[in-house]
Amino acid sequence: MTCLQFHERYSDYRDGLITSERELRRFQRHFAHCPACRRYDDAVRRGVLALQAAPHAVTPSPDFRRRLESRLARERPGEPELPARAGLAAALLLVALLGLLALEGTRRTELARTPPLPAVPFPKPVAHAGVPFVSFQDPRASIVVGSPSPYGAVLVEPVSAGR
Amino acid sequence: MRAVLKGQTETIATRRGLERSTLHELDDGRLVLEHLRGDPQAFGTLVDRYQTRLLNFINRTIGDRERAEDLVQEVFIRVFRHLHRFDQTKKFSTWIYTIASNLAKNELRNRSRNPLVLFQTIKQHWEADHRPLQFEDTTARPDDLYRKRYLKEAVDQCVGQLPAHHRVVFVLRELEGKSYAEIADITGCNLGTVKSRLNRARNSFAQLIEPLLE
Repeated sequence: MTCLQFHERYSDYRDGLITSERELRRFQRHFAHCPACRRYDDAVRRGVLALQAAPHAVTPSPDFRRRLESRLARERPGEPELPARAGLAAALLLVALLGLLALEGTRRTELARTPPLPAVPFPKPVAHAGVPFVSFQDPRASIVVGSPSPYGAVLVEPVSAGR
Repeated sequence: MRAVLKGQTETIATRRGLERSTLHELDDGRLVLEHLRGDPQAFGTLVDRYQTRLLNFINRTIGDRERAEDLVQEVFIRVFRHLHRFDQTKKFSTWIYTIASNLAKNELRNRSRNPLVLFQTIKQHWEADHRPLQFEDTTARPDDLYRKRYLKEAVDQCVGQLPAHHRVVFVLRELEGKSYAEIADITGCNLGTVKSRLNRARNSFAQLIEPLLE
């Protein structure tokens, strides 16, 4: 095995992907005869061991979970995190609504005390020959004359016509 | 009455503690299922499991601890949003590392366009390197302390000097223990590219670390 071949297949060797006994023996023989490649393997192993041996270089800051939970709360459906201002605004709105309801209640009481207006019959629609074709007149003043038109309309003369 | 209430509270706390410890025994796939079924503690258990690992992975990739923490938060937010669409036939760890890797890659890409951010990061690391040794383990000899700290920093620096696309593969393999197939999924490369990058990363790492190990 040459040094070039060693380097080309080193990762497979290091990761245990070489299962052939013959191949493994070739690597062992090369280690025995090549100090440079032996140092190379040693450097990788010791360097990685040093990396792995150190405790996790960094740990999350003390407020990491609190910040994350705050962000997750905004993501959860139906559980929006209301800021304090929104809560205050909601409270004020509720108070305003209750106030309006109370006011409405007192108005209704006042209205209940006022005498009812006299009943007024619904004004009847009146058809005319000219513009305006339809108007609403006081039913007490209208006189219905003539026979109904072929189209079902009733010609009504207003009292002011004087006929 | 107070004793009854206290007893009930303790029972609830004990039950919650048991539930939490039970959740910690579940694998990732089961935790995902529990979360989708509405268990409020399941997602927190996943966060406990991955927060430090992801933080170290992203920190080693981008070299900025504070920014790494922001990115880890972003990873968990994205996982939370899209967990209902996660293909549960696949490995959860591969998925979450893929999200983390993509965010780290984007961060590096954005930084390469902003030299000021890079300078500030280097300056920050310089200051951290010059803290006094007396606040470390006082039971060891000073020269041992120096050697340990020196080696740790040297190894960290060597990893930091690797090109970003080699560094990611190197960290995933050597520190996170991911298989070649998992690394290929996480980085979006094919197996041949993973092997090639890993080989080059190890080559560069060995050249950098060898003089420091003498």
